[in-house]
Amino acid sequence: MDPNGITFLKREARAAAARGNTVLYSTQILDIAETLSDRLLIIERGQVRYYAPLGELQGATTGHDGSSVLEQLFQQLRSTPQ
Amino acid sequence: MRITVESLSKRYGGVRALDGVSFTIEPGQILAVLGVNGAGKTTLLRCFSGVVAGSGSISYDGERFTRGSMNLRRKIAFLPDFPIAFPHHTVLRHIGMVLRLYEADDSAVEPRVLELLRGFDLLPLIDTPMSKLSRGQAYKAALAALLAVKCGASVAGRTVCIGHGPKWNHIFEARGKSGSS
Repeated sequence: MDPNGITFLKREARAAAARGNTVLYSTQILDIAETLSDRLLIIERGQVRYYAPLGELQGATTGHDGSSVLEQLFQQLRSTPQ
Repeated sequence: MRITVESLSKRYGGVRALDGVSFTIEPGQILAVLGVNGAGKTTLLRCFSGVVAGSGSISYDGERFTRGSMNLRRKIAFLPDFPIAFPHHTVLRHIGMVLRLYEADDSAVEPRVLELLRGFDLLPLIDTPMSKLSRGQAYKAALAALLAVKCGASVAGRTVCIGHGPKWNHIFEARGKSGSS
């Protein structure tokens, strides 16, 4: 999908949610998850590893290496065995 | 719709794809499901849509969901990784078929279809067979069909399950290489 399509899809997803619909999607692109979600569900080996509102992460700052909040969360989870 | 997942598990032979997954999503929320390859994301979304059945339970607004719950399944718009159900149909015909499957093919949906085709830059392609589209274009056409469903039906609170796949990774790569996708 092209950038215009992504922009339009995000708008449609937010509009659907505003109408009371529930929207679920999976993605490997963390930037998309950071800009299009109310909650995050991280699954690891078939189990829930993390489930929380996105707002709980938004107070965190980006890493010294420029990594995003979600990138840091994944690194943290990776270094902590399930 | 409020979605409640309780102790959801799914095995494929000896492989445990989901293992006791429990959580609740409130109406109007957008949930991003993340995880490494093979973590269970796709299986989870397939369970939500009824494509596969696991043990445990999924409830929509308190009503327990099974693969035979056709009334509930019509409220769930599911887009899998490879979304072309009718490859030889044109884009417009494909959308019409999807709307018919969801019993949402009435004239009231036409303005919405037009809006979605325009939004996804698909208007010049409405007479093109789905199989002749690029992967990104085909995905947008499939999305347009499912997004149109919700306004054509009288049921409130649909769930839009958007399957993940390599397309998300390829979006900008394809754009960068060719200038279009």
